[in-house]
Amino acid sequence: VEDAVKVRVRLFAMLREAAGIDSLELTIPPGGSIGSLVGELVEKYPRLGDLFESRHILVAVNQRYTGMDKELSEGDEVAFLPPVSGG
Amino acid sequence: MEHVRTGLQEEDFDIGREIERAKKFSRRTGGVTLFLGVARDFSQDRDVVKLEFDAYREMAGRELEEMAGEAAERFGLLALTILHRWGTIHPGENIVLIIAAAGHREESFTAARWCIDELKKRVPIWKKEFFTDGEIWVQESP
Repeated sequence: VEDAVKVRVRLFAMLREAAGIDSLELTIPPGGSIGSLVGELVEKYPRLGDLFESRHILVAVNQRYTGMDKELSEGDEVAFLPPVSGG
Repeated sequence: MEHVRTGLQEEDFDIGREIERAKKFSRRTGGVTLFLGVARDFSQDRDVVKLEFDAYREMAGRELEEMAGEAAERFGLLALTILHRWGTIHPGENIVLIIAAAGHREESFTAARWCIDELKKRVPIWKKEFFTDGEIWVQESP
């Protein structure tokens, strides 16, 4: 039996404020994708639900932009990024 | 690529020094374009008191480095500097500095424009505007 996958989640800007936390560890089943991680996250922090639905949230794994279907590995850093507004 | 300089910093820019630094890399430099992004005191029909910048600093640093490398190569730049501030910034203060040095003006103008547009698209930095009567995370950057 494969072990569950533990990842570090990071939240920024409006997501950080809605959750009231900027970083946490979550465990998902082996072979779990970012989509399943979002499910876990919204269950834990219901206020994130609206934002994931209404905003175009991007995701980065280990500081690289990626798609929601990416499979995660143990120790990955998964960051959820609201639309950027630098400059 | 020491002719490419990028970074996130809390303190203000030393603009004169940055220009000298960009110029000194090559005697073939014929044009230097500088773009300075500044905090406005008015946005969305409201008076802005201050801005706060949040950044995914590890990733923003890497994205800046990568896009600067791309720009330097694409426009054949002799030097390029892209610096962005984070933390609290008040109206009138500087936010972002881009200096593009090239053999001729056209490449330096085009590169500076490309860099600020690209930065606004992909570098994970977020701006929050504080008004006299509320605050909001900025959604788009016109």
